[in-house]
Amino acid sequence: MIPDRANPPPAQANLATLPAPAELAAAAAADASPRPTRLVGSLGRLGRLGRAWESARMWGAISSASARRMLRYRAAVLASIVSNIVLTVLRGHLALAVWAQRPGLAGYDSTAAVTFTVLGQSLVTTFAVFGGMIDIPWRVRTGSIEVDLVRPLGFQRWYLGLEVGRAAVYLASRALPAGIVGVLLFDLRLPRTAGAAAAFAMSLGLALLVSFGLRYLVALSAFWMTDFRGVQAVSALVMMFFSGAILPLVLFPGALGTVAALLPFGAVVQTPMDLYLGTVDDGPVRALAFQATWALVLLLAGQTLTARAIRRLVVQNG
Amino acid sequence: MTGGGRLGLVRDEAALYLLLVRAAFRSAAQYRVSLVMYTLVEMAGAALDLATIGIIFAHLPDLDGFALSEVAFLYGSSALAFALAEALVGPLDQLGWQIKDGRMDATLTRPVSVLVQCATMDFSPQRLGRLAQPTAVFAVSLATLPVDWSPGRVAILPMMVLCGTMISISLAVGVAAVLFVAPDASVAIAAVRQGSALATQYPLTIYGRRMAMLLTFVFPVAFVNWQPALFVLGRPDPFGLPGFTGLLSPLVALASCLAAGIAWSAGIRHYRGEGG
Amino acid sequence: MTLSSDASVIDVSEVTRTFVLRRRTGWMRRERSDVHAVRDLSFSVRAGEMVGYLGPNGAGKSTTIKMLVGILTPSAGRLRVAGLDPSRQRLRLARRIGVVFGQRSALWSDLPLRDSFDLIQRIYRIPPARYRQNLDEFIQLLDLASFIDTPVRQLSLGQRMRGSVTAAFLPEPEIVYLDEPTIGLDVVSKAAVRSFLSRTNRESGTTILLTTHDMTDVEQLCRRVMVIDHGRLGFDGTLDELRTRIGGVRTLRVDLAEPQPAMTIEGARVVRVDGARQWLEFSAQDSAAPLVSAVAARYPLVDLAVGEPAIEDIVARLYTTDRLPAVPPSRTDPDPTHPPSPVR
Ligand SMILES: Nc1ncnc2c1ncn2[C@@H]1O[C@H](COP(=O)(O)OP(=O)(O)OP(=O)(O)O)[C@@H](O)[C@H]1O
Ligand SMILES: [Mg+2]
Repeated sequence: MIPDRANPPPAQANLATLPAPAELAAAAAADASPRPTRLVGSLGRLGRLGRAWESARMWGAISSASARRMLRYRAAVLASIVSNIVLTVLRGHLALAVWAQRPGLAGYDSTAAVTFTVLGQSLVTTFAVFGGMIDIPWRVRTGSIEVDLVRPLGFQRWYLGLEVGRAAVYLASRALPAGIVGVLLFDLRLPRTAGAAAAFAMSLGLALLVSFGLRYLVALSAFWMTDFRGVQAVSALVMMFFSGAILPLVLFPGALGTVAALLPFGAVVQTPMDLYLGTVDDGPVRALAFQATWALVLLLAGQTLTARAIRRLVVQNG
Repeated sequence: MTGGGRLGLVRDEAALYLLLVRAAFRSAAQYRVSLVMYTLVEMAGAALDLATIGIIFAHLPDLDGFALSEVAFLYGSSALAFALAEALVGPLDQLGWQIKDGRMDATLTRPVSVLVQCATMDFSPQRLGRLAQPTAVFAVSLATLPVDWSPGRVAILPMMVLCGTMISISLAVGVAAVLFVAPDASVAIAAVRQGSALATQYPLTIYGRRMAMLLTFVFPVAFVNWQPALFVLGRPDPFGLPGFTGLLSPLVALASCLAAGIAWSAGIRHYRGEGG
Repeated sequence: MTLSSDASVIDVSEVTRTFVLRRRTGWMRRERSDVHAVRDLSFSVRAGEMVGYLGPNGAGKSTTIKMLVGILTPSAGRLRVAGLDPSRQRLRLARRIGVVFGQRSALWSDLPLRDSFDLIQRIYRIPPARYRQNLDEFIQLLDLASFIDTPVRQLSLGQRMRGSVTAAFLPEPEIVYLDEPTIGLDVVSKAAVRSFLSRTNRESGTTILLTTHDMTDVEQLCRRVMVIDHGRLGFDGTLDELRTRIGGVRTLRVDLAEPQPAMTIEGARVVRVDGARQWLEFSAQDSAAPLVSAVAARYPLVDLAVGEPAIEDIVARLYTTDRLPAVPPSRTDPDPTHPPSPVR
């Protein structure tokens, strides 16, 4: 088949720019092809806006596939809805009992304390504070990671795309039902102002980035370690404890409290919760900046480490 | 599992169980670093629960009328029962994965009871390491409890641990049975474990009457430690149940084992493998 | 990016890949050993070629493909695919190539096959109309219609493989590598995949490099064959050249008028006698004519047939005799008189 440039390609003619690669080795020239052009670079003439739109749709599709994949496991979804509700209710009661005896403990009244507990549980599941949820270790172990490298997309972004889908499913199927039951059973507090609500919504997005950034770094360590579960377990514990999900960070005594407030883990649970309850010390902007800084640092660290992980894989292969 | 005239069979299964556990120990010894790491993690995880109680009591003199030593007694007995259960039959979460990637087929064709195989599937020594902290807390709480130790009370203690272990094993097995039909529900196992551990670590009164009744009569986790503990502590039941309720634990334990056994064999019967 | 007619899209020159294995021999002691998966490999593939890449297990085929894709760097040597250095420009190259790893799938195992394809459309930005046209065509060619809405997890091996092949070809890549695309497939699936590959190669000019252990794949698809063993290229040429070079045996089946004891003929050897029928083996390089006349002169000949050496046998001989014939100086200029030389 000799490329015929005079002959306009059928559909999408305006998008095609590249001629077919030369003649074929096999003497099959007689078979005129209905496909005179290739797709490579076919978006070259799309404007910047069009490209951004295409890109947004692509990431939407990736996240949505990730979400649909999770929703296929009906029994798992059902089981986690129930278990989340049960855990939320139990923890809520525990908080009520404690605050009934000592109202005003840690600066919270009992409504705030229960709100903290119920909301905390929701944030823990949505942001997977219990660790994991990123497939990399398994894929490294089974060699499926090679498939990821053949894809024309950045590695970290790909997993972030999947994570967004997962978080959406967890938010809808775990956090929301438990939250609704919490509202029905307990006296919960709503954000005081529209501004607080907006700041909370923003902080959710940043919390997702921080949580992903942390777990991604942990997951990447699978490139270097054969037995990954130890790292995973340690990191999950640390993350859980310092996120403020078990106990508000303000209850941490002395130096432990100071350190805990600076670590990134608080940005996942404690900061969104403070913004929701309106208990931020230095105003919402500062809190959001704290989250954004950590998100940036972690994602950049992730990018650097990704490059090294891939280089390691490519150069040493295991 | 509970067959009456099949004692020989049970003995064989027990021997096989020990054999598989020994094999697991030997293979785990190959990865000493991981072993140490896991054990540390287990200990840290257990310490976290304890730290929560510690922080609560740093701020409160008592929780719903229960002193620190009493809550420690509840926590210790509950954690010990769940740790023992997990040491014996393992987390069983793996079962869901096994079924999903078709490894279950092989398990079912081996001439060893499926439960024994599942229990030893990823037996690792750190399962035993998990026992250390609850045992210590339990012992310390016993020493500090302001209780007049009559022989009856002392006799209750081993029964309490045994029955608690049996009940938590049956909970795990009963939920795991569901996995044969819905293999992707393995989260339920962890959830039941976490939920019942949380429910039994604190006085049942803090969860309110409705929840307490649910946890006594439907999911009988109140019999893991709460009911016998009330007897040991010489406290009347805050919800007005008669005083002998605490002594019913063995009956409840047997009944729940039976129910779990039935559920388990029903689960195996309904297993249809992957690909449907 | 315009390619002249004889430009090669794949250029491999003196590529070596060594794996370092560290084995634990004691508490803290470790032993280091090198595995030379590929040694001094050189070849080039022109645009539009379809090349069969053969070799016994562990020969280095997958390693070569991984280097061509860019997920392994060569330890030494130079590699260019479509003018790019694969491991350095992996992402740029990824848009222009397709890969099918026989054992691992790029499909989403929990989602229907169609969802994976839709995602590929977005990732590779295939214009919708073009995508639909391609997909319809592939569905028909590879007979996907009956299971395209089934979750991949529930597909049979052959169905999944047809799905993977579709996924690799949907973005219309310039080059496609297939690592054992027919592994575990039944006759029908194999035929479907084969005809799809040859059609795409023919009509779209896609360059295809495939590894396989199935010689029928090679016979039906590839004009050119490369054989690698112990990491070295042992042969590079057409199938016919391979037949001549390896000097396999041909068989002559003769039907005599009545049963006879095994014949004794110069240059041939009786391998089987069955009543009046006898089978003789002779070197594939020799002509059958003198043999036939020799037989006819001495025995009452009724009928005869000459059997070509089966490609399987040739390749088996290649793998088992440690002696691989030397690489011909040029692929297009084979030199049949070139004596075979030992590889190691
Ligand atoms: N990651 C690795 N680490 C160490 N050695 C490796 C690695 N990958 C491959 N090898 C070794 O390199 C050699 C070539 O392997 P390769 O997978 O390329 O063979 P192959 O030709 O694809 O074989 P097969 O037909 O079995 O697929 C083998 O000896 C193999 O053991
Ligand atoms: Mg291979």
